[in-house]
Amino acid sequence: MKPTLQAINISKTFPGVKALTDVTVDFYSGEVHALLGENGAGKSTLIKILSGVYTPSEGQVLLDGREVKFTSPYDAISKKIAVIHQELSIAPDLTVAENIFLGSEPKKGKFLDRALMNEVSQGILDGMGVGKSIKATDVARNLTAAQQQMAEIAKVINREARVVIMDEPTSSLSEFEIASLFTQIRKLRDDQVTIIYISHRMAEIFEVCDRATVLMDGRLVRTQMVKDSSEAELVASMVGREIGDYYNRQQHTRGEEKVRVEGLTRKKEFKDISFSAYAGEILGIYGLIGAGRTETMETIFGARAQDSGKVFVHGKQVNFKSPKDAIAQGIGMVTEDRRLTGLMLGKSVKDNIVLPSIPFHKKKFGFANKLWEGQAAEEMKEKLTIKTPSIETIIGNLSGGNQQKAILGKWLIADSDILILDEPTRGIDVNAKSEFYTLMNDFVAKGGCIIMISSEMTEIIGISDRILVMHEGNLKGELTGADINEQSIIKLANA
Amino acid sequence: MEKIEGTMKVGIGKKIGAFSKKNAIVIVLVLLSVGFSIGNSAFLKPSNLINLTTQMAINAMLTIGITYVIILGGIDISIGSVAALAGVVTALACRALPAGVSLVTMVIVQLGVGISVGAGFGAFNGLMVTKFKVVPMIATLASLTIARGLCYIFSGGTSVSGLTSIYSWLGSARLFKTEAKPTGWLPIITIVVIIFVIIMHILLSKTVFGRHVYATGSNRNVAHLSGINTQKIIFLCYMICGAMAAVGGVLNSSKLQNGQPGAAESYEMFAIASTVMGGTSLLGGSGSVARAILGCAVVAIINNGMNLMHIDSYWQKVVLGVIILLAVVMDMMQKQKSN
Repeated sequence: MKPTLQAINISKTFPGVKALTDVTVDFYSGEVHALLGENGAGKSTLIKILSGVYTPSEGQVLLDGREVKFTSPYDAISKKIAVIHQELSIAPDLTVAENIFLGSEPKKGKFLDRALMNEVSQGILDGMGVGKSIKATDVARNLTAAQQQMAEIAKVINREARVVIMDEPTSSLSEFEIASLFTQIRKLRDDQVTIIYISHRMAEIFEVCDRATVLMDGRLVRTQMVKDSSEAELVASMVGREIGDYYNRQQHTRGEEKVRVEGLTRKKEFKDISFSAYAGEILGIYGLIGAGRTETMETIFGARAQDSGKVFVHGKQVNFKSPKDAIAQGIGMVTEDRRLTGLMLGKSVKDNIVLPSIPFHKKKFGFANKLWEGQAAEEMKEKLTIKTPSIETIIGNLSGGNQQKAILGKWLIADSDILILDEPTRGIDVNAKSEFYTLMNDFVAKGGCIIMISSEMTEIIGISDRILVMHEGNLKGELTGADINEQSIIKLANA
Repeated sequence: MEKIEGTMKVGIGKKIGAFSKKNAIVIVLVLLSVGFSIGNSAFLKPSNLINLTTQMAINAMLTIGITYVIILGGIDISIGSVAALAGVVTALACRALPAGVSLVTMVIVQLGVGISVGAGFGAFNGLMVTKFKVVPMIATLASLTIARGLCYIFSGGTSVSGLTSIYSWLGSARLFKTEAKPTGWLPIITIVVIIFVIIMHILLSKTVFGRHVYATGSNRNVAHLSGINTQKIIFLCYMICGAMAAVGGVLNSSKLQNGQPGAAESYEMFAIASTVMGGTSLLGGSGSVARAILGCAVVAIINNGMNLMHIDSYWQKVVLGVIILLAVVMDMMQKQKSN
């Protein structure tokens, strides 16, 4: 069998950086081909070359054995190569059908043939088996993230794409939704489509991919059958060394109660939530999207107003009116979305790290303590090994992992002893994840309390001492010790 | 590791680039000054430069205030009208003072009344933006017309005159009288503006409040989640903006020794232009009072230069509009590059 798409000896140089060096990969029709590597390994550059965003500095791209020279994404699309980006590129105010036909609208005379558009779109959705929950005439904005992704796949099917590149397609989906995405991926594969699949989640690679290509520092490490490999082996080849126990699991000693929640309720979001979190433990909160995990934690943090219930922190009942009150009690929160709610992207590493602590270190007459700010930021840079040229570097220029470390540093320097982490390792590479887990363990070992929301099953099992499972705004149960396993979590999460 | 070294090397180049970008306004200012001094040898004379500071004084006060609001990512287009209203109300209040009032009392009443009017209007704008979630442009557009209307109502449509001579001390008196210059060479108005520039620059760059202004402008969600009362910060910035504009209005009224209901018309445009040219991003999060004042000097020099070249005043408006546009376009291009 001949490969559909080939990258032959591809190199790509940017000013100051060689992003790819002599990479050769073959992609066959009817295979799901994983592209693995840490952030900065060259995955994005490679897919951008394959989809016409970049032109290679050296080397060739072959389609059906013939060289193609893409000068724009449009060229790739016209050769039936489609990309589904991590951040969905759906037009929220258009209907599903309009999105599916975006850029290739059928016409009847001079006018749009809406009837045909809707009919064909619905046909595709029905064929995918999602026609019941997604209608061609639905406005995209009203769909869930997973449904929007289904619409994107429908778009790809409509274009009769031969190669579909998926860049972290599951990053905003729940386990359940991922399962239905995988069903679609397998259907595409059975229709002889080539799928190039990028994900940081190793479990997914083993579930849905046939072959895997590993890149490191812009070079090809190897391409191999997934079933002949193991997670440890793939991860080791991605980071170039054995990283041992990836979660650096440690035995924690549980201390006094730090947070107690009794009957916490916020109408339409969650009801009657009661639990305790202790010093010296990592409490995992698992649930599907819409389970109310983020909402519950933001309410405890004072970012949302509760309707009823009690919250106790350090044994005393509290009534936080805003995050300011929670921070004063030693609580810190790492939010789900770094760009939207975690970072001042245009500001320096230092400005971001010291932000919540500035008022606690002020000098006379409300002057900010500049000297302390610099020292604090340097201390966190050293302690958390934040890779940045300087603390004055604009934080938006750092990698996701280093940004996340800076956010953690922000709460460590504020002397928080209770940390709420909402999807803390989303979109950061394996090495950075492993380092982040180590920092979490260190924090807990020193008597800190971590409450961690995660949608990643392996992560929550790997690092939590205790797990609470939420479903549709209700707390469904608690798992400890030997009960912490995939089956029992899924049972509770879907109950 | 290779990569980090790479970025470090780029870092130095970037630093130089960032420095020249940050201080582009200084370069522009120097070039303009050199240009004008070649064209007219009197330009760089101390007396002319001092005159220039009096010409830019009103705009400088408006610029100080709006810099705070623009750093927040907001805008206040009511400052011209608010300045005029402060001038009219202050003139009315001072006319009601008993004859023979001391200079100190006069100055206290002028600034006290003016700042109260301005801070009041600023508080109104702040309330609209924070409590009622009105878009800043619309909230301050409403204030613009309201304040201008009140100007004409309070003044009866004509300028408020008949003020004692000490009313004009703030705006037109000078210190250090010499034989060569019997009126004195250092204008009070310049001193007042410099004092406000220094205080407001320090407030923004050195205090916890200032840090919170930048944080709120950079990312309001993050600021809130980091324990900052962003609503309060926004409210205070609009109040500061109104108060500073009012000081400008009082200075203007003092300079003219009357209260003009039509004063400071469209001065908000000069202030916005100055702030943006001084490197404050309209997207919020960065900027500085000192640099905005340099922007103010550029606007003053350009105006001054156009007057010297006898450019028609209607055309001067067109030129200023184009300059604002260029400054904003350059700001946006920089933002895009950094993204």
